Amino acid sequence: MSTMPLLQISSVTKAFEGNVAVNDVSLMLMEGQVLGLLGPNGCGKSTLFKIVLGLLLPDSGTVTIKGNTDADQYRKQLSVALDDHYFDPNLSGMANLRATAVIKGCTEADFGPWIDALDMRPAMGKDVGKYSFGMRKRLSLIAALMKPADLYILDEPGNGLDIPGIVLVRQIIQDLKSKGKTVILSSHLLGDVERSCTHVGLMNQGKLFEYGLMQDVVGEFASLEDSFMAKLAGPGTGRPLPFGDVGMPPLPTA
Amino acid sequence: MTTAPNMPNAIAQYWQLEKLQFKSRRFMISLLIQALLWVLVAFTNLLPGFMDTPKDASALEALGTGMAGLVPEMSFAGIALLFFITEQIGFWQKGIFRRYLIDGFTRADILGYQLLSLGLRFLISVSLGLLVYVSLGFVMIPSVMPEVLGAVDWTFLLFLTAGFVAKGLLVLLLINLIQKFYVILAFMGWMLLENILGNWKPELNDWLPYELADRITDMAQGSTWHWYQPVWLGAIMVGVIFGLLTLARKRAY
Repeated sequence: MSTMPLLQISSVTKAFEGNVAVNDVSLMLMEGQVLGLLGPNGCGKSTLFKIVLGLLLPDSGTVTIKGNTDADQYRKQLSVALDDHYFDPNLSGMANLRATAVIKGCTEADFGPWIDALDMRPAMGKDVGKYSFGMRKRLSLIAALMKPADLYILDEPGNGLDIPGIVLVRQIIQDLKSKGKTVILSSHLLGDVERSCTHVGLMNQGKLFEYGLMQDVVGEFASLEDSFMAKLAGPGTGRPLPFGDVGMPPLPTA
Repeated sequence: MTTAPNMPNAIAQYWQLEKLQFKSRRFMISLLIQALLWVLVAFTNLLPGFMDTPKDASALEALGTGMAGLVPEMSFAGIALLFFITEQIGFWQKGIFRRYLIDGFTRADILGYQLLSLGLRFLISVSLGLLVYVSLGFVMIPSVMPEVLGAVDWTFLLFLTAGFVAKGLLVLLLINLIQKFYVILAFMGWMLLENILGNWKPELNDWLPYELADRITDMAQGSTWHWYQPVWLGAIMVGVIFGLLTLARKRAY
């Protein structure tokens, strides 16, 4: 196994019209590590992924993958499923996958089994514009998984999926982990992250405020969720629910 | 730094991607709309030609007169460009280019693919237009083409090309700034209005931004210019330059 970091993000900052989306983030990922990025909506996870992919330029800082800083070069070594899928809504699911296959140098034999595994065969002839969010997410996963890669970037892979889909995504991540693949994923399913990831990073308001081995981040807390909620201290956490005087209806008792 | 793609492989890849687009419903609808536009434009161009031709002239002569009016028409290239713009809105507006980047294209690939796409669509559109023109005249292409080609002033055509590219870029700018489909509809309306006014009320042309290429040609030929002509020309050019800068800034990342 190489001693060179597979992914190195150094002091990356990105602001949009004065709003800092990613604030001086640095992290390093070695081959075979699975990193879970956690944080509330809008904390900068997706922006960070887009910077890694070269879809956004950072205002400062660098991203290096296998020693290469040119996104046009290293992007070919990545498999990516973003929350923003960018599929052509006027083409069918199958045509979109074929387009991805053309660019990645794959054939239908490479993605056909994934279509069946993600139960997308019946929807393949439909235009992507008519897909539900969950179907687009599945299509995005098929596109990401059709070719083995050095680094997998999965942005909220379970988002919008039904329970079997979530279970399947968990299996896919476990499988990638068992094969020694390097994965960076974001998720709100803290239980899955705790089970699947070797490392975890906690983000809030653009800052990566904690990053390390899973056991170190969980520390003395009972679970990753407890640790996350205790450390986040961001908007919406630890506040009383706004039911006020109306209150909740009493729960039925047996 | 952007790396140049391996050209033969890259072109094969771009062609494969284009073939997928050609099978889409959007492409078919686009072809249909184009054909309808062509019929409208062809009628406005051909009818005066037919009417101006002596009654004892042959069908070929009548068509030749009509076709001669085709060359200086912005519509000819305008429809092709409109077709391309309509097709490409999704590619840029909906971020499909980002999908291609995610899948492994370089930025040079995106540019190459766009150029191929533009070339193919232009060819398709022009072929479709010729087909409509010729079909309307009930004459087969081989008997008409020599006459038409003989009537073409190639220097003029060069200016014409510059004109429609400038006009198209201006529309691209508007689409990008306003980001509404009605801009395209406005462009279509403008184009048709130009045709109708150009053919039925030629004297109004002096007061319209009619045929930028005509204006450039006038300048090249040293003919008299009215104050409003360079104003239109300047406004369009400033628009184009500003548009290119805006696009470059917005679309680079």
